Amino acid sequence: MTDSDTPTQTPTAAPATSGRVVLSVRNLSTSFRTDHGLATAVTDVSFDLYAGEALGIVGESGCGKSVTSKSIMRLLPEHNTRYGSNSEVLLGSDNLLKHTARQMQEVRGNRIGMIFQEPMTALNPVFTIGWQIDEALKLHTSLDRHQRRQKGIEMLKMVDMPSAERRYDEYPHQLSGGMRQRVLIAMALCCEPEILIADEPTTALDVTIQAQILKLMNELRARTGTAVLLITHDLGVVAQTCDRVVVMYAGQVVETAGVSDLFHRPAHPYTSALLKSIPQSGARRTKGERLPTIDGLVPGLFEMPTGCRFADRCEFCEQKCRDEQPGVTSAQPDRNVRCHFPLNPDASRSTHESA
Amino acid sequence: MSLLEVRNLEKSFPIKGGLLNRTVASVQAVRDVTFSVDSGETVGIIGESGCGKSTLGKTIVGLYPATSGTVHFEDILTSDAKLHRQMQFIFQDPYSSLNPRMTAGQMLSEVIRFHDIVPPAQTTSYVHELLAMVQLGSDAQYRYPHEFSGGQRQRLNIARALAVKPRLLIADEPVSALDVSVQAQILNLLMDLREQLGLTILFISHDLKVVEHFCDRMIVMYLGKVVEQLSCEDIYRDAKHPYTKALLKSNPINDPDDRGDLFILEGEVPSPRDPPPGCPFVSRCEIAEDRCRTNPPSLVQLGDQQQVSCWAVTSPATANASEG
Repeated sequence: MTDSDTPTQTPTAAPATSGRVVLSVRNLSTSFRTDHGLATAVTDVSFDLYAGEALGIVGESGCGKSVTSKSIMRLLPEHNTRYGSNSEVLLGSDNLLKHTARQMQEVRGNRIGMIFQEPMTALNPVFTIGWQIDEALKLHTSLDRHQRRQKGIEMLKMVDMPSAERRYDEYPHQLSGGMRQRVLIAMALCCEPEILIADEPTTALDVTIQAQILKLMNELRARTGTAVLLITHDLGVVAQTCDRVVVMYAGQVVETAGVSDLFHRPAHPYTSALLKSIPQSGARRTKGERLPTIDGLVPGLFEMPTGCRFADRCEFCEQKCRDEQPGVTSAQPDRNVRCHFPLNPDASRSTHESA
Repeated sequence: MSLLEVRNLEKSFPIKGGLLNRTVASVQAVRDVTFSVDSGETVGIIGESGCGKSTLGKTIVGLYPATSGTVHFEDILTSDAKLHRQMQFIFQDPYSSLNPRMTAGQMLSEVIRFHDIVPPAQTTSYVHELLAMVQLGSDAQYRYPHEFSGGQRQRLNIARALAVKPRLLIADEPVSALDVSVQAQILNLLMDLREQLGLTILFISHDLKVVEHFCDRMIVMYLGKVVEQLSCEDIYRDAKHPYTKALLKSNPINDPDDRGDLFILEGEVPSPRDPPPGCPFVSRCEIAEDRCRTNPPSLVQLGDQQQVSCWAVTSPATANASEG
């Protein structure tokens, strides 16, 4: 069904707690047919998600992180989306990219749950939240009506929804943003999926509510053992919740590393520059200093350079970077970097001067 | 003398309803806000969505008429039209605040002509000067907003605000719609301009990291009220109000080795339609006492730079009896 010989190197990063791989993305390339030609939003993305871990996908807007998550869930419009011929999204032994619409229905909400960024638009305003939780249970479980209601209320209690019985029969507009996000989490988890994909789950929320939701997600992960794929642009959220991180730039994975390595010893110049450009608070505060910036712009989809996609903005760029596309190399067993001249993991310790 | 003096400023919006569309209630967006900003200072206004920080900014600049209270700019009431050139506003969304059918050059020269900033013959060269000031090339004048990136649009917004040579800039979340690397560019630009032009900036933001980095002083708002004012020198040491402390602890730190427990502030912000009679923060406060529920605390000066509105900080428990 799928060719097993993979032409490019695939990261085989194993986390410290090397567990079972639950989701494996292999050479994923996603293109869209547009009026201007084929636009490749995601190129050759590979990573593994292990049971029970939280893997972060970070990158700035337009880097392809959401397209990656929607490709996994096959939520992109079928009529103009093309996946690479050697692309695979392996859930167990199934390649989701080859699934029919009906087969995907069995996966979505059942084996993989998903939370979206906008808790208002992700809920249907004309149905009660109970009805919406019930929909997934009706499709994927054999529980009867009464049991489903019990289960729905139980799920709302699990996500710490205040007065869950009453809220079950309320409409989305009667809930605050934080409560709506709790409902979405309850919906995503009600069929006990192996994997939860959270696409910017806290971006639309205030910091104090964000802290509540992040803590809830950490607790649920510890309790249910669900593997979490967290897509975000906020490095602070990654630092506080993830075990491993995939950094994306211009549609490619540029670095995969354990969270501590990534923040303290970034190997890719982009990761390093990104970390430096964030104002720091507390003991390491950057108060009043000029922030290091990344000059220039992300290359457009139709004008990708032949060499490294970060070359134009990279302070260490050399001729080789412009001529030749770097492949993924693995310096250590649990980290990969796509760079001809990765930063020395030890020398680059000075990302922030640790006082 | 302070450049901007805000005294007891209130802003409420009526809620119309019922058969005759009468005013049935009101949203009290800004409640009794008093503060001043010195010339050359950068003051951050921080708070969560719905706390009234944007309304405060727009009321100060005159985009909303105040319900009560006054705003003075160098002792002149801001309702005076002469002041429009002294205060400029930068909006959060860099795209929707630009006219999509006008080029950058047209937009800037419109402002310049309307306010008669330079003689008409010099308009073009002044446009170039403005674009250079925000580090956009002079060919940018022929481009439309959709041809710019997010960061460039925000530069254009800044150029338009600076065209009238204002002394006070009110920036409402100027970097929150931008990616971090672009955010750093805009913050650096604002810092340079602040130095070059001696600008005073009122910086409205929900992002504590940015405010701490960029501002001299911060004003923390909750449910329409100022709960604390403090210097940004060392906020982790100085913060006194339980809400400010909670904000600091909820802010995810960029260090995976410093994970700790994210501090969890229970509950959510009450509706500004029906704020609690006592302290606005009482429903989520860990150290709330009886007096907090009934008596609103007032801002009390602590030291040179700090004001706190909290009974537990300003008059610790023993004084409870004498409160009445």
